[in-house]
Amino acid sequence: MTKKSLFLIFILYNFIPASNYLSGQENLTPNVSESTPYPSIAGMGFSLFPGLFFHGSGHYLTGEKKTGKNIFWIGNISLLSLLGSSVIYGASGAASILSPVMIPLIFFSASTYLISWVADFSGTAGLSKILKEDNPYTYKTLKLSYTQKNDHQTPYKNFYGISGQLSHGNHYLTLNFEQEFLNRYQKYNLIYGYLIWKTPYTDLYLVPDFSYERSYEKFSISRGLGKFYFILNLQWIGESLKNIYIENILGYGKYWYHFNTVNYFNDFNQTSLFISQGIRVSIKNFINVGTSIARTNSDLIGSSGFFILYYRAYTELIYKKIVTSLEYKAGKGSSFSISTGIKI
Amino acid sequence: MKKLIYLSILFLTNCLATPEGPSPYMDSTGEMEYQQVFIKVSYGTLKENNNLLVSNIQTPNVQIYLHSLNANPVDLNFLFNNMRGNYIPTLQPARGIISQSGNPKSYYYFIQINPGEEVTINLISFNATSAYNFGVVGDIQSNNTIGELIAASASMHNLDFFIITGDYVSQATETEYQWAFLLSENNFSMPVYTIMGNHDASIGGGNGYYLFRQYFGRTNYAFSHNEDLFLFLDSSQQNISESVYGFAQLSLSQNLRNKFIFMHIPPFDQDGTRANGFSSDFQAARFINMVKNNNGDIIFSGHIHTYQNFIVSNIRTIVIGTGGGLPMRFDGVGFQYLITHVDSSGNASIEIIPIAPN
Repeated sequence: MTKKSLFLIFILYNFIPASNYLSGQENLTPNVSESTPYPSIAGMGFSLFPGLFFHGSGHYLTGEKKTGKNIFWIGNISLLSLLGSSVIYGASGAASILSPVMIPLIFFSASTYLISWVADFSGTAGLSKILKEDNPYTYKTLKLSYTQKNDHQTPYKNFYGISGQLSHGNHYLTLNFEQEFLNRYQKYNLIYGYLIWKTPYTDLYLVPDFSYERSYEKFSISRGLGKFYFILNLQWIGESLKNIYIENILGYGKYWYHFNTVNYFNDFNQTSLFISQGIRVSIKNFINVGTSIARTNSDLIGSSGFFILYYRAYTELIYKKIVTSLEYKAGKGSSFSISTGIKI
Repeated sequence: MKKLIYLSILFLTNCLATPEGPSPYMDSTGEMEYQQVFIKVSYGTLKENNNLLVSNIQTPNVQIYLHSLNANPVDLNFLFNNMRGNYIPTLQPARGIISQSGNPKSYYYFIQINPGEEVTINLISFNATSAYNFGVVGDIQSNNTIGELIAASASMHNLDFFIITGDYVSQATETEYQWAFLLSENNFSMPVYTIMGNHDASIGGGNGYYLFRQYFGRTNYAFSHNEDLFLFLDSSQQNISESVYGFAQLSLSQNLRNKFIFMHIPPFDQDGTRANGFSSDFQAARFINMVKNNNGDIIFSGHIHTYQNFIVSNIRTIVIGTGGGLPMRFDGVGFQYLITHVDSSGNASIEIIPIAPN
């Protein structure tokens, strides 16, 4: 299998849902029924068994056959993709030439397989009944944060920060600043997002992401990544999954490491890859919840394993214009962050 | 095809299951109490077997510290393994009797210690010469065929010692550790010093960390040889812990000629997309910065089953994970090890020794 064909499979794999929808329906405002038979104890039970092995069983065995079949096929295609890509990449001895394509393919296959099961369970639990449509990239916020990082390799533990987001039309801009309590570390981050493609159930953002980290030990890192945020409302699969959002992020770019020498941009640099997939939901009126798995080595705390993964979970409470967020990350180490501010 | 699938699944499951464990921390080993005598071998293992105190020596020079709390004189019989063959070790101060056993790399040592006596002896396994050379390879991963070929080739090159940059074993079972120990002792004609890799630390659980200490000794240590520093660090968890970082900084701050660092997982993978170095690139940069500030020279590592030789801000990183683990394809590298030649002026050069194509 050539590199080109593998890349094509990867692209198709991510975009088939959207293209299928577009071919069947041109209307950008879908007219769908709100009625589903969920929550269902039996459905949740079936999603556990045999649903752990046959994803979609919860829906299928409680009458939502079409949704169940969709979940089943998504789960199984992901599993096949995971096995195929793992065998190819494993047999290649993690060959450099295959990494830019095979690593995202393995990652997205595994996480989509996991999400297909979560979708079955969440749908039969009637989660969508309490959810609303939401897009956090349209928020305007200003927040202050405190973060504690625990990792046996870093002397930096406590941080404060400020972050702000502006949005207008198809654009958003996020600025983040983080500083260690004893001023030994700072990080600046600028993210600009532009909505380049939208369908009723999908959003695709092009997101240039720049950051700069510096240490009092006189070295620093500059990063520039071009990311794609592909966001899918699982209502595409079935009505019972309405407003459960899957966020796929794929980014390629470059990191520059500066070691206080005259060769500021020539000390060392590398191409880099960022991948993330997660679920987020907005519970009516007051709370956003999300969880994701990301592959990157660009955090201060280490990621875990050969695939350098970290797990992230967050919740955001919104009361009138006050927004308070809690975030937890775990990889090789862990971090806990609390932030509060205003939402305009 | 079946074998290919098996190997690839094995590879992925092994790679995914990098365990957390106590290994990144500073450890002590090579000490015990025997007949009310406290015994410590500074760099090496120590265990008692039928009244024989058996030790695998981990550096060219070790200190043997003895403190007797016994009311009577005690006879101590040591067996030191992993010494330089065809070289009679010296003792400073001269105390006790040393004699060679059947294996040219093993020596018996007898000493009688008196009540309340406290003795420190320097055991010099072999002296440095003005020019010397040493071999390096990583990731043999219990591949007996390639391991034996490397040992045979290294033995022909009259090396001062050989360094395994981790992943000597694959599944970290006691059987594999026994095999690795015997390969070092019987097939390599020179001392073999090893560091811990993620496979050595146990893939998928187990007690690899303790087996490593039992068979090879410390997981973080350093010695000087002919004015050059040899620093061995445990990066098997894809990082250097704060305590080990401090040890590394202290070791590197010494005023020595060349400073060679050995670790299993390199700070950076040359392929940033795969990023098979430290799990945090900030921590990798911090480590490199510290090495640079202390005039480090070369970082030798393994983990990635290919050969890489690149420079990060004046610090050369050499990856030589080509000792027998499933080789990386499409890189044209195959199985190989390297010899570092250090001339009398201290200039180091690298020679690649091919063993087999992949």
